[in-house]
Amino acid sequence: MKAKSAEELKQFLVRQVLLNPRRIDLPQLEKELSYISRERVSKPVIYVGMGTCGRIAGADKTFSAIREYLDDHGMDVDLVEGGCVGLCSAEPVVDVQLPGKARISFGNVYHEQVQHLLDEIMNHNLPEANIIGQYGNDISQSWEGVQQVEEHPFFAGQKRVLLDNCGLIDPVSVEEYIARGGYWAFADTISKHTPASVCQIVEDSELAGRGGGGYPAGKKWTNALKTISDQKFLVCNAVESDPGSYMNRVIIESNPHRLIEAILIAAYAIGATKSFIFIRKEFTLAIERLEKAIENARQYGLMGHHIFDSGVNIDIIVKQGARAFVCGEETALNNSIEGKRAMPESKPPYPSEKGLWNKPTIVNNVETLFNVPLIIKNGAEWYKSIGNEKSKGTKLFTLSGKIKHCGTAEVEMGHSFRDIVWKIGGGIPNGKKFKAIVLGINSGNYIIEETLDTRVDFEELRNIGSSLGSGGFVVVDETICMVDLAKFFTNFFKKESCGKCIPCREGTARMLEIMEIATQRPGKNNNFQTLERFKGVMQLRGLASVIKDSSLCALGKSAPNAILNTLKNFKSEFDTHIFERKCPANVCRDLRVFLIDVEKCTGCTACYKKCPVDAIIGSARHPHFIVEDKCIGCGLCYDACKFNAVLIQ
Amino acid sequence: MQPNIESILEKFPNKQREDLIPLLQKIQDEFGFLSEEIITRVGAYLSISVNKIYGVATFYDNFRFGPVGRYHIRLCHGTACHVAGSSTLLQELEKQLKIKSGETDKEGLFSLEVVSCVGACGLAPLIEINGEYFTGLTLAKLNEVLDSKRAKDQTVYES
Amino acid sequence: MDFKIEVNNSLVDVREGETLLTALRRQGIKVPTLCHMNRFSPTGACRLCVVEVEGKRDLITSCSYPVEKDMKVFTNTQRVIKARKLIVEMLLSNHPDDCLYCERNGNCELQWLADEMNVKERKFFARKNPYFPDGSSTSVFRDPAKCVLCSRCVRICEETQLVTAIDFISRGNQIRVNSAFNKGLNVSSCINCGQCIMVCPTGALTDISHIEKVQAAIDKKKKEVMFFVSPSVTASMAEHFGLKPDKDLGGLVCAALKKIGADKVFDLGLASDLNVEVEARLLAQRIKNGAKGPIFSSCCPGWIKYVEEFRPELIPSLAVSKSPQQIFGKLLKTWYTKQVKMLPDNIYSVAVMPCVGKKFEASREEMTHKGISEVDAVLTVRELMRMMRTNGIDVRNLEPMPFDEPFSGSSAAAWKLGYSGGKAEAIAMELFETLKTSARDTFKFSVPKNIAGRKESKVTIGKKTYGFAWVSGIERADSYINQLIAEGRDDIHYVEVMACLEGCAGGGGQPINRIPEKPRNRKKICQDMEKLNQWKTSSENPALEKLYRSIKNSPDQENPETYFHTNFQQREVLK
Repeated sequence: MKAKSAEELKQFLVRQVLLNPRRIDLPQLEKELSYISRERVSKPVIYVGMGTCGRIAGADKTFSAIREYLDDHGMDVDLVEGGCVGLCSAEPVVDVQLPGKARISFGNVYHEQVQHLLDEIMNHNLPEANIIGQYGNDISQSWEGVQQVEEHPFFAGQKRVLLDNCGLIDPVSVEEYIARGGYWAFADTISKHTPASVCQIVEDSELAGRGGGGYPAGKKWTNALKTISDQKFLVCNAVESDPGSYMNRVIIESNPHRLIEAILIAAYAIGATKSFIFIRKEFTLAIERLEKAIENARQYGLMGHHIFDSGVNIDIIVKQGARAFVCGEETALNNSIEGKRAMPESKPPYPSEKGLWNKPTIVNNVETLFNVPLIIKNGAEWYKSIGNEKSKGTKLFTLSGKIKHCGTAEVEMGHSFRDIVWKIGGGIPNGKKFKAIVLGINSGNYIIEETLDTRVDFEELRNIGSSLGSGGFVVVDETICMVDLAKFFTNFFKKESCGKCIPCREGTARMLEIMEIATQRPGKNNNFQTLERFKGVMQLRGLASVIKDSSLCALGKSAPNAILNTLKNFKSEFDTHIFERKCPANVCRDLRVFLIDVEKCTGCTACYKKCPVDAIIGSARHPHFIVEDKCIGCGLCYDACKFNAVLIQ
Repeated sequence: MQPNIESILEKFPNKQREDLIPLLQKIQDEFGFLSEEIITRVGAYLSISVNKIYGVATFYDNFRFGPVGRYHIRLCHGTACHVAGSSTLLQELEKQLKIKSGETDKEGLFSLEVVSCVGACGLAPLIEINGEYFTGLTLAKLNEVLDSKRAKDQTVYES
Repeated sequence: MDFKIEVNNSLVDVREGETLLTALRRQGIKVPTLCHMNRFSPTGACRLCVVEVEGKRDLITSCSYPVEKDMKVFTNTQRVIKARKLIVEMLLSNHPDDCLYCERNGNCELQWLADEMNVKERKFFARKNPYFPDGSSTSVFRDPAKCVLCSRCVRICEETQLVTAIDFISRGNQIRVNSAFNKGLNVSSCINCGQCIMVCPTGALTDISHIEKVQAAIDKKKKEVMFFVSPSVTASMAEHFGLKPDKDLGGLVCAALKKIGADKVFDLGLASDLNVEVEARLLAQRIKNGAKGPIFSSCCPGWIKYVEEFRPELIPSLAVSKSPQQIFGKLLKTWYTKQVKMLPDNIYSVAVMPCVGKKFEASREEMTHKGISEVDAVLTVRELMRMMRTNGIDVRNLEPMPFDEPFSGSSAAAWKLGYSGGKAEAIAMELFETLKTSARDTFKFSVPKNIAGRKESKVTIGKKTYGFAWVSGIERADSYINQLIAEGRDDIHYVEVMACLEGCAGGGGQPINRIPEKPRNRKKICQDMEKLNQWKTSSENPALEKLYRSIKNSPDQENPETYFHTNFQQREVLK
């Protein structure tokens, strides 16, 4: 097939594919498209997974090493800076696709392994490496003895609908995206559907908001469409400040075109001509790729004025957030776009009636939007066939914490949490016992041993007092102190509170103080402190319930959740801190009591030298002794002792 | 070349309120922090009260009002990092450098910033210094990193 | 009424589009509020007005939620009371414990809330943020530790006065109200109008107190302490104590001050008459010169500071007359001292005003004479009442005493300066007297009704018509002036601008009470006092003629024309 120039390619893809109503009827189109999408390759292609986590793991160096190798050997190979396939613990990931052979994926390819890897694979030999798997299909020859990628335990339990392109394509290439079915839905939308029918399709699909609210997206859009106004806005909420979830960043870095397509469709559906993507400034790579992708899409005439001669005008502007967790709340986000302090506003009026500059504004989460092109392309019924009776579609989770496989996973609604931890996640490392799953910082109750068989489902989670959250999934084992974790979350809310309303501003600070007193160093003759401690703890529940009841926004309302969780599910751990002044997990520094076992102590004085407060007494070759009153619980003696003579009580 | 504030202001010819935050971000990217002179100039340019601009800038964590150290340390303190032990790292950093998050030490060598979730939870706990990442840290490794930066700084001075 | 909703199990009539709070208040149901301000859109910040609504999971704020059909509201369930009480307790946890030493002791919204919520113990031991008071300004004292972050001061400064001298800084628990870079109020763009003090619920914003230095001057007995009282202060006292307008009303205030220890008490009204005369003369001169555009009044220090900081291009249009306070100060320390053969240094002059901006005005460089301040101290109505309390004086039980000579007589025009529109009318009357050609000409000054904020009146003198306008509140003034400029109008010759809404009747130094006293009541008292006065216009006041002659004839005295003039300068401030 004759190689096309860039302009010819563009004409082909726009005329023959996007605007062609019979595109799927033409078989020769499929073959040509398969070369553009790189399902077939005429020369070798090497993909290096270059998401942020890949880069932090060393993918930059791997990329340079591969470039150098290819140059040194004079090889004509396409080297692609790819996105993230999701298995962070296997980063850097390198995929190799030789003509006629299935694409094969290798994990943990550090720059020093590049030589060996390429020496072998370019000669069609399997190297000694961490082989994740191969993407076998009918049109290419498989590698012998290599599992399919989807057989890998991390991928086996997933239903990769949103993540289908992630890690497989060049993220900013509009050609690859169109060749894989991208922008087809948008082209059809503006030529075949009215805004009202688009809203109806999304409403029929039962797509629910993935930012944590679970509100039906289609209903929200219809509300905005019905409001009469000279201007409307669509805002994509890419703030994602929940510590522990980063899947929005992953999908923007790996497939920004789908987000762009989704925004174009959504803007059309509600009648908005201007849309904003509000993204954290720290996501530098995501912003870079997004802006590049927008530029490429603009070149293809996919946005701007009079798109494809349809009379539709839509433009997308990227706004960078200046870092505040509260920006994730839609009214606060709108204030931030307007250039003000990101303080939430009372609702009603709702943003769909009075949002940005008092115009109707729809704020949608990145993951929610990601579903839209697929729903328009494949239909509402297709979407409803995924998931279970009440919750449709899939959910992205970012697995982290005490788990073997960290990364971004997509599971069908109805999947059990137990399977996510042990099948997809690979279980708890180091033989430790499971304690809880923290589903995002403001999602209500943790998933504990007793509720592990709950399924990923809005209603089932509501029934156990929890909620889906944004997709954070931090697994916690027995080595973690739940009281310390609750204190950490409370501190987070205190720092991130905007300060507008009294319950959240004062309440989070008071809760934190109570938690700090609860985990403070027990002092002698400190009756005042004891009184404070008990008084504080007695107030805790009441304080938490009022903050939940009367705060202005979701941040304040979920701030007490961590403490309420701990009081409900880990009461004994809490009580041990308060009444016995001990931390069962030995995490709370102030409550650790260090002892020296005189049997084991050799008098080497290593601990004595390390102690920052001179709390250890003893002379050389004689057993040492720790003065409890002086000890600050830092644990340096414990680290220093080579004879395991220092014990934590 | 000295950064020029006027050339940055020119990029926002509409002088709208919504330009405030992007403008401040661009200025901070060039100048490193927002000084009183800068904020006064921005206020005059956009016709917005200086008090309002200061109020907006102090709301967000990204904006700084004093220079950072030669080595700016960002410590990730998201949930996964906390679970992996980043609090201990934070305490150590505060103790050694004698500063809290958002501050710069007296010599201007180190400054500290606590961020929540860089998004590399598989490599927790980690810090970033001037774009370089140090992952899977223990107290010992952290001290090694700090010592190496101190040594590097010395050689820069000595050379 | 449009439909009914259910409140505490009874049906209640409500209007479409109004908030729940408005509907509840109409029923006489009391719901506590803190951040709520009449005439301002609700923010829902304090959460004190929460009520329970059937079907809603959380409590909702009645100040911002609109009434809906079939609503079932409960305003005092256990859940609601518990929430309100705990919110107050949380506020108190971060509040200093020094009520007994606070300016607003007994007169503080937080105290009233704590009392209503039946707070009986200090529930939380909080780590308080270290905030330092700011006493840099001449007029407003800020104590951020007492601030409850209700946002009222920020809103009034920004929306009503267009100044934004203070705003919220930082966020969360660290949030506070301050100027940029935590600089003092004295270098900020504050115009010293004191409206923030009037809306502050606690002792976070108070006067810069002059009580101590006035009391010290009285006690030391080294100087003659001479007070001069503005007629509007008398009106405020009458409103506060429920006194009837009477020609001896001023005499009661005079008696009170004498009992406090004043050596002399003078009537500022005389200086008000002087000010009106001088300004009318400036207006006549301007008309004669055929200058374009109106002349603006200059007796309001807040307005002047606003022009100097934000609209210096208007400085040439300001009347160069000194304000009544400064005229008085100058007279006292120059002309009067020569009359009674005293050294200016031996007089301690104290003005009693409804205004905190006057404290700033007294400190202006232009208001000194050979290094000596013309006005040594300014007491607000609040401060005067406090001094009366300390000295055990009940004005209702006093016998009126006459003001001391030679500053004892004032015309009805002096009372006019106490409210918005009065000055314009007084100037119009003076101009009429100056320019009228025949004795048969009658003065007609119609005050338009039902227009808020800015009003205009046309006065025909001879064959010509002159336009007088008056506007109060800086935002209204600013937009009115912009309108005049945009429309290129040349039919308005004089604009009276007062920074405080309703003029001095709503001044920043007026009393602050639980049941707010109304500026329009003070205006009514002023108008009643005008009717009782024998001299209707300033020029009818015989004392003025005597004064002019005396000034002209005394040796080494300045030109009487410029004796009462001042100047203004552009100010560079943090804005």
